[in-house]
Amino acid sequence: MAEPLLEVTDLSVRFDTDDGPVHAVDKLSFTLDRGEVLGIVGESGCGKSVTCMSLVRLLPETAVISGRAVFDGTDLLSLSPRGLRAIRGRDISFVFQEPMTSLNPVLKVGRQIGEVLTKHLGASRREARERTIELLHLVRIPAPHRRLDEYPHQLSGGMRQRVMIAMALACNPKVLIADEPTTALDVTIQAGVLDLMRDVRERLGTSIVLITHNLGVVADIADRVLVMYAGRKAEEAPVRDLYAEPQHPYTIGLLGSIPLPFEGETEDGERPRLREIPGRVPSLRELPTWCAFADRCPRADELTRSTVPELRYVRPDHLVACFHPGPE
Amino acid sequence: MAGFLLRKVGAAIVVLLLASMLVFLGVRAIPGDPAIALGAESRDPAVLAAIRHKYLLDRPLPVQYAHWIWLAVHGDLGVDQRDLSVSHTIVSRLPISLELAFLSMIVAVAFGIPAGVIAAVRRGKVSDYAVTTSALVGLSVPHFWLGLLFIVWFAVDLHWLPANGYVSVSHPVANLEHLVMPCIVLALGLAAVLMRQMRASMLISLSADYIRTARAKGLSEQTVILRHALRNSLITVTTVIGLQLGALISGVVITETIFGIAGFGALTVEAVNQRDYTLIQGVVLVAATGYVVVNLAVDVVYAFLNPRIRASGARA
Amino acid sequence: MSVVEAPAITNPRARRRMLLRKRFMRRPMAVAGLVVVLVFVVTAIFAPLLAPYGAGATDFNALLAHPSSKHLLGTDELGRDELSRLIWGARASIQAGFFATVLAMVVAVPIGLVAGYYRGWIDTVIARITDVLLAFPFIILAVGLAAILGPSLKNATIALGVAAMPGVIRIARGEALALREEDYVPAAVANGANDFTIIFRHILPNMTSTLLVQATLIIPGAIIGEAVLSFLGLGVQPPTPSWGVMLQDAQSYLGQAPRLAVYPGLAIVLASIAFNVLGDGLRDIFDPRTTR
Repeated sequence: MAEPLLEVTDLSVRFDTDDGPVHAVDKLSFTLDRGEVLGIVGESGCGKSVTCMSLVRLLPETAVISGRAVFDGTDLLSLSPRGLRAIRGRDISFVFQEPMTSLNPVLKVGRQIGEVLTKHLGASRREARERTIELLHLVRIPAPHRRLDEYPHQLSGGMRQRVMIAMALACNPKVLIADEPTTALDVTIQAGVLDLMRDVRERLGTSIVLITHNLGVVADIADRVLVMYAGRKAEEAPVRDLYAEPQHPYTIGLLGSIPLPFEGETEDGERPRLREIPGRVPSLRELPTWCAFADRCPRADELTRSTVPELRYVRPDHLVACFHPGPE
Repeated sequence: MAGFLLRKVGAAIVVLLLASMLVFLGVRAIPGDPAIALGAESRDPAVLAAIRHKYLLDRPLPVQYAHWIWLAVHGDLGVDQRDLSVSHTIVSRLPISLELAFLSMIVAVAFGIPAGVIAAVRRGKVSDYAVTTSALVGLSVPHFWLGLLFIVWFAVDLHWLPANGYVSVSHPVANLEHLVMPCIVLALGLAAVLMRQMRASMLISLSADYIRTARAKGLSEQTVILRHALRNSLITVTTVIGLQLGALISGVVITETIFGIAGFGALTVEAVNQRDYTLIQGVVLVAATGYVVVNLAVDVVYAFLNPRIRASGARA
Repeated sequence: MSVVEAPAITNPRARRRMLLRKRFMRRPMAVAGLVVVLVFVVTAIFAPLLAPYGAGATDFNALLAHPSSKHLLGTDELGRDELSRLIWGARASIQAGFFATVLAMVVAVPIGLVAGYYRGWIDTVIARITDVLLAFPFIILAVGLAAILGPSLKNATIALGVAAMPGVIRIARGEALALREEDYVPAAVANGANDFTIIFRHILPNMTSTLLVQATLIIPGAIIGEAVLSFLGLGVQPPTPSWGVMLQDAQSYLGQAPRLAVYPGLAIVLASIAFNVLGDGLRDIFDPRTTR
């Protein structure tokens, strides 16, 4: 097998805040192959977004990052800021959760897409404009030549997310990192955006990292799934195996709590939560020296509460960090 | 957009009418018989009656107000104690103050905006502390005191600059020489406010999601700051400049008094000291009108800068 | 279990107070500001006890005298002790700063609360009134008041208070708009509370910290404003001492005795910086989001 496009080894991210350090990610390793769709799943605060943003250093200055992240032969984490800027938006690009706030409200969308092209490909204004129309066409925005001169607030939420995707695809990136790309959208529009991403992978061969708290979304599109809990990897497997035979009690809990279709938003406007798992995510102020999930786990015992479980293979490509793995 | 403009203009007219009524009633509330003041202190009942009739003082207040505002709209603010046209006096004094205010605003913007941006971008660093501390001092030092110190240092001791007075723009060098100190004094407080506002606004912009997007696109820090953050912040700070006009007018009054510049501000103080009511009435009305009109202009500029209002005409 | 057990921890208010005090003590600038503010306030209150000479006491043997053991900061053109006049002058400044702020708060806060709570036409009317007030810069207001009522410290204070109102109205309105959406408002309505109770029992107490910060930041502006108006002859009338009056007097002797212009100015700057630093510090401790 060819070497992976992205190989992350022992990635740790710590935030030094006024109230002491917060360990957001702890010694995480994973790989991403060319043309692969990797889903990273977990509750909010489990470190999934931080992981991806740390790769191209989009985190605030308080973040302390260690480990290795070899992308196409270069270690991203030891790259100079200049070198990193050449990769951001060109080889690795992002789609963020909030299409509302992630676009600059005072710049026309055409300009916001176009500046990626002028920056990375040295396109002239006219070339950028033509290519932008193509891109908007690609993400299935009707009447692209008109949309080009509109401001973000003139577009619907779904349209804005398509603009974000067009922007991310502008330079034919090798990796597209989509951080909860559908969470802020209406259920009916979510499907369209996921469809688009599937299409992008098939047509352009882009590798996609899909970050979500929704296993339903992952099932739709991912090849492989990585389940994170409290900054660590809990389980990793091809998507079929994970759904057919989840090993980690946390994964089993997540699968039991997939929100039903059309449930969408809860009454108070919050996103659907994974309510079925009792208890809360532990504070990340200090790294636990036992299984972080122990407090919420029906299978917890003395061993779980005293030792950190190592990741081990239960099948050739199925990893789990649990002393008592296996389906219910 | 048209709806937005109409609403703004309508509101400005209402404010101006209310303000003019306030001025009118305020002057009527001044103790003493205005006819006596107008009649060169004559106590002759026949003379007073004639004066009352001439100035409509024997008519009901609404009639008097309507008459006054009708003339004011046509540029006639009456005559002062020396029988000089108030409008003419104001028109002759105003350009001096406008030049002073305009130059000061330029100085304040030229220093305040970049300093605020630098402080926000280098938050927590030495340059941030330098900017926030100087803004604090700038807010705490009264203009007129600084003006006095400047006169002591640069005019009395060093003889670098003239201590007071004004020279018309037809002698540009002398004109600027006379305005250097007043401008710096007047600009100081404004620059301090702009620095603070700009810093606060930039901090908000820089923490916005779209800045993360801009960085994720691989744009240089310079582009991120100037194209994405500054543009948003400047739009917000535009409105602050309009609100600062009140402080600017107050500052002009003080600065002109200290530096002996015979502008509109000094006229205001003269009017009060001489208890010249027609003049007070005119000066206050013109100041209030200037404030309202400039703020209307700022609102319009803001609407043009902010695409959210420009496109939809939504509420500000 | 027992009644005396750790009352400080069970009482959330006491706990919050303790937390705020701790945060405040961690800000040396704010503490220094508070100390200087207290010094000025004490000076103003006990001026008769602290001043070595009376406010108007003249010494014709020492006109424009240099600082000496007899007159620590020297004397002015009438032989009046500069230090004593600074101490007496603190009264006018602190009074103007304090009462102008109280006036602004007492009038503007209820107006802002009503505008933010009821919204609709009443909000529009209040917005227009605020605009009208804004159209009169404080000097222009003071000019008008001085013309109508005669120049005095009281009228200068009123002008300064009125000038501060639009800002306070806006802040109170904004807070009321946000607070009326909080959960306890519908809860109070459900319990049969009327609007008055909701506004003054539920909304007002929740904005006290914001208002306190605002008040602390209005005071320095009013102190400078008082000095300006007195300087222009629109405030405190000579021979009553005030920092502004002293600067006005000093203006004629800039050549011979520039120090007469320096001391009152430094007093104003020091008082203003102290209040500003204190206000900024209070804002930081009430709203930790603004700091890192």
